[in-house]
Amino acid sequence: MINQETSTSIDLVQRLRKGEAGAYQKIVDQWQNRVFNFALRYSNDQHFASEVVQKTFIQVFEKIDQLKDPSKLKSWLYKIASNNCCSEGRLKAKSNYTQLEEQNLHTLDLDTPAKRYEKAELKTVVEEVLQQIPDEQRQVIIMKEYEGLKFREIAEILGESENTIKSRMYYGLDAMRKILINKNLSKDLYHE
Amino acid sequence: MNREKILDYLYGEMAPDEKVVFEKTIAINAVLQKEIDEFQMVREYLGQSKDQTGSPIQMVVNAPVRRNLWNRWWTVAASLLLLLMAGKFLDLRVTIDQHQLSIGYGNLQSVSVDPNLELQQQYVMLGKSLGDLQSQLASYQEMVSHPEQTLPSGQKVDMRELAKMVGNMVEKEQETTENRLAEKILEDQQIAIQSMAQGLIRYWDEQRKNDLQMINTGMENLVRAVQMNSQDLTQFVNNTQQNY
Repeated sequence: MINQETSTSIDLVQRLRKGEAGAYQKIVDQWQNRVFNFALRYSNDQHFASEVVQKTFIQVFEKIDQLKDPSKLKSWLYKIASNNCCSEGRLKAKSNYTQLEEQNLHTLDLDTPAKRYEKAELKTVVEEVLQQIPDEQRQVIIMKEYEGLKFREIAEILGESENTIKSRMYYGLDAMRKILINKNLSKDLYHE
Repeated sequence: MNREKILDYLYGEMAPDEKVVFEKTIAINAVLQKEIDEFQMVREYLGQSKDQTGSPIQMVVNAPVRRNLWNRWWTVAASLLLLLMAGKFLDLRVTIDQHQLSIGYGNLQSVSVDPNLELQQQYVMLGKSLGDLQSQLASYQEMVSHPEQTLPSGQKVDMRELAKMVGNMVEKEQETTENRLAEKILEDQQIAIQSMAQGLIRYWDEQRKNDLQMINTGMENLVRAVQMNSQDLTQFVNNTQQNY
């Protein structure tokens, strides 16, 4: 049974292969925010994420003929984005928290200033902790937690077995658990 | 073994019957329970950052134009046609036979690459040929920039004289146009003046008639008044004479 997203992907890939510029624009519109957020969580750097978005969509355009199964557009796109995150990560320094804090100022929040501050602090801590674990574990956690991909899909994207992916996920979560406990951030504090 | 099951359980990827069995195991295993609770805590922390999303600073991706092969062949065909047309005017010659591609113009020697040679030799030949072609083009450029040119018919033309002649033609045409425009304006002005004069004459004529009528009426009234005054005066004189 083909779902709506898959059938749209097949249609867009076929149209792009025929040379329709409109199809390319639709792919960009549909996926650029997800790719951006994926890269942003991976790097915690907006410029890094923008670079990854740009490179990813240029490669999508250039290599669309290499996509054997058009229904796998989503996995293929994440694979390119993931590779770009790794290659870009080797070139650039990580972490720029200032930009994320600036962005927070623009979001509508009805909490009290104290609560807002507490939430922002917590987010910063989580992002810091995420940056402390190895790249391959972070990548899997982001894909699972934020992109909502199945273990099978992540395995397909990263070209690894499902067991390897689960193993990375487990060690990633475990590493985060230890760091958070060392920081004395208990569940009680979080629920205060 | 537990590692995979913990993850499947945490992320809801466990089959329902397997989940029931696993939950029974958790209930009797305090260590496993603690591990799952702590992993759940990490997930809750991660969830805090879920709304931490944005969009690219700028729309950095523009849709490039993807040309298909058919379009590319048409481009090549159009380029060849253009080259052949240019060749017709510039006396440029492109020769393709079974073994050679030759490009040349005028009476200069053409350049060629023999595809039967070894690849390296072909590169050397191609480099030499391109060098020759470049020098031919340079000499052609120099020839084109020379003030005296020879048309394909053999007729010699001085480009400076030609430019002067064209300049004179343009100037003359401009002058003629200006004259025509001035004549038209004058004609229009004359028509407008005539029309205005006729209008004035009509007005004055009407006005004159009215004035004459008014004068005549005035004169008549004056005569009548004088007559009346004259009668009154005669009567006054008569009356005065009678009294004195």
